[in-house]
Amino acid sequence: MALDADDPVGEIPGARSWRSWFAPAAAVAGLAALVAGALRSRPTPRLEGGRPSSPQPPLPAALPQGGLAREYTPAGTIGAATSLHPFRRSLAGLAVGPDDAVFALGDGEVRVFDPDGAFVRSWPAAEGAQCLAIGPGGRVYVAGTGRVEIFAPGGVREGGFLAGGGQEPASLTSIKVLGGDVLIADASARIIRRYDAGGRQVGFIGDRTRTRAFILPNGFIDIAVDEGGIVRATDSGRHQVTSWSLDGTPHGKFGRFGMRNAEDFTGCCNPVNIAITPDGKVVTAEKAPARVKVFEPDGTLLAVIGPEHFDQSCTHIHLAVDSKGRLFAADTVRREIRVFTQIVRIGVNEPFCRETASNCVGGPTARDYGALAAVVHARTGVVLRLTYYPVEDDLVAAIGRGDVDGAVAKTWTALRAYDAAGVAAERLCDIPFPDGEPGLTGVFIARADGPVRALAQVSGKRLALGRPESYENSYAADRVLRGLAIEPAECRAAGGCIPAAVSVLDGEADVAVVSNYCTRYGLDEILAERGAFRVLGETAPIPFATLVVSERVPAATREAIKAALLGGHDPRGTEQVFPGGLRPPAPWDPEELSPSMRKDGHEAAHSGLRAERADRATVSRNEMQSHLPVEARRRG
Amino acid sequence: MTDHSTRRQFIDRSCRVLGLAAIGTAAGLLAKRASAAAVYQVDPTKCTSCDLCRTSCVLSLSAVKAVNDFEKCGYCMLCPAFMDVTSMPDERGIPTGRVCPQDALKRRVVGDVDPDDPNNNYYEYVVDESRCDGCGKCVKACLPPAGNGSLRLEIRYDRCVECNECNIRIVCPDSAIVRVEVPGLAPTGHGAVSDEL
Repeated sequence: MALDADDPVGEIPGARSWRSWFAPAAAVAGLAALVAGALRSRPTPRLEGGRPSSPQPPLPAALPQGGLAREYTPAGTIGAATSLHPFRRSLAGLAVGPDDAVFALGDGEVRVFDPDGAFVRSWPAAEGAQCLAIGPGGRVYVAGTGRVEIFAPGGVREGGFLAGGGQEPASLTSIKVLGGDVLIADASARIIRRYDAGGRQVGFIGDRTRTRAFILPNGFIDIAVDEGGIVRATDSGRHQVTSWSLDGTPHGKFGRFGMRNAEDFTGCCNPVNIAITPDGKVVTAEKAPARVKVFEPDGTLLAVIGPEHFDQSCTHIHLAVDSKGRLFAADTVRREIRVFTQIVRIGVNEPFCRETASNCVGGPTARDYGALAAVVHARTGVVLRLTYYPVEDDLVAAIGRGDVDGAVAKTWTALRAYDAAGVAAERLCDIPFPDGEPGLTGVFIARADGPVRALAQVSGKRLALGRPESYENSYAADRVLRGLAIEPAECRAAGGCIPAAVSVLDGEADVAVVSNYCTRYGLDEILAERGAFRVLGETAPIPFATLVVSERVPAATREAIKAALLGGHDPRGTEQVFPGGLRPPAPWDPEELSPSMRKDGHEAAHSGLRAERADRATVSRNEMQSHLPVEARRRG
Repeated sequence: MTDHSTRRQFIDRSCRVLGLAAIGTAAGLLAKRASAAAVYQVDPTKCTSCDLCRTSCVLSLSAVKAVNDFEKCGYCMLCPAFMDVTSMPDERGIPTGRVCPQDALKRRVVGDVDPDDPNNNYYEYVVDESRCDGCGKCVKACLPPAGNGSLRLEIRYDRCVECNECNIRIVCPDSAIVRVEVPGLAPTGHGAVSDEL
């Protein structure tokens, strides 16, 4: 049978419906191909910005020779990702309020932290708020895009006003409240606007430059006001910190572009942020590299807090400073507030210190000042960095160079060193002998079996002084001899208490003047001549040793150290770690100091100090001449 | 007419349907092509300015150029994309070195010139495309936080010759060369460009 091509061949019942799906399926496949082709060439949006940042290579920043005058160390973090109240989306403004409470603007809120960083409260702030300040009565001023909102300390809104000058809402990047004035940095107009408390604009700052404005490549001005009412502002395009009076009169500027020296400002536009310390120093923050620096108001660099502490893609590090001089720096990329505290560098040269023990004392030379520093840190957070100077003159030189911020030393040593350096300093506490006896005296000693039995018999005798630099061995002893009209035949410096005593034993001198800590603690033990000496008399007692801190250290920090050392209310009291304990500074105002160092002379103008010191040095030398051999005095 | 189709009929119908689908697809693509142009472009979110745009383009002077976004630009006196800020400074403390090896980034003072104080002026930066070879050094130097990130690399439509497969796209390690549909853009002029700035 021939096959007909049109005949269904091999037809299977029910198979027709299966075949009939092929055509629609092919059509669907074709459409799918069309759609796929269309999808493949879907327009890709042009993406603006958001590129990965590429931190600049670290540049060598040369520090001034001899190091910097201040050092800061990290002292904690507020609002970090691991904390109970982290900043999750943003961190912008920063301010320190009454009682050193920290106010931060982040995540659309104003958050308040106590000085230790514990969260206190928060309230909503307007979206777009960029900065905040604390005004009279603890009111919180929050500024952002064209508007200032005023909140009561508890967060209740009390009012607000519009700020800025154009049609568009102004970009308000910084705000400060000074009495009845509100200063607002308007980055849109590139000037600082001054408003009264009612929100009425009363003036401008920064419009008296040739460009009639700040130069702001980064669209940001930050301002700070010192205690004298001087307004300091960042002029980042000019790489300067500029100073103004409230009426807009320029008061000076410092800063310049540079990539090599630490005091210079790098890149296109720095510094970005600014703050003022309680003692009037200017703190700046930069980007690329992100770092913080502290300057004298004249632009002398004091300290650098390096890039290692911040995310290097930070374009803003908002700054604030509390009354103790602690720096708060808001890292806006990591969204955390870094706290830095100034290291108070203390030079130690004290006869009973373990590390600097005098060879004039014997056994009780185990004072551990490191334990004392630990107590201060535990109680206040202040970091004392101790440097031990076994040689007294090295400590005096270090004070003169400004290598240390304070000293633990014999009282006269510390005072005369700061006097010579022309730096005002404050005695925070006195340090007695290990047995608690506070008074340091010069002791006139003679051989127990010798002919000299009383002080009056020193006339015509040979006198050996311990260290002539010691007050008790020189000025005080001289005062005693003059008071009693005693004229030694010969007076020579033995170079130390033990050599002076030995010279008496050896018959090279009849009488020696040594420090009383030598007679109390070391003389017999060291010379193994118990009972060999007779004490003829003593000078008037003066405070033995003291902790002196330069007034370059903020007053609040000094107060904190003093309170920590003299507190005595804590189980970790200083008595437990420090034999002899500590005492409040005893009144002592030696006339040999220049008027500026004496309590009644604090107001003396610094301009006259050098001449006065020079005159007095001559007098002192003349006084010391009286201790020279009689022949020499006669020549004089 | 029978209810049953033969194998031949089935194949015949299938071929016709597939043919229609193919014609439809081609027509659609042609229509799309007529209404918009798809071009290669640099995705700035991926680009790392690696310098391969300069060396891999088939043109002797790459079709990739730096472009300055004036909305973002800070008009800096000390532009880190213009000056090599690490180079030796002159007597005024201004770096003497330039970032662009082709000297393609030009600047001019905006507004009144203060001849005594270069810090006292704003500067506008433009790219001379006849010199720019797309190396991206300026783009990299302008990245935040050092700069405002106003410079970026772009493939200039009027220079690109629209290779079937863009050579830069092949070598780009960051897959930053993407195909962008630009509605209304006329097909490329294949290098018919003016070198005037």
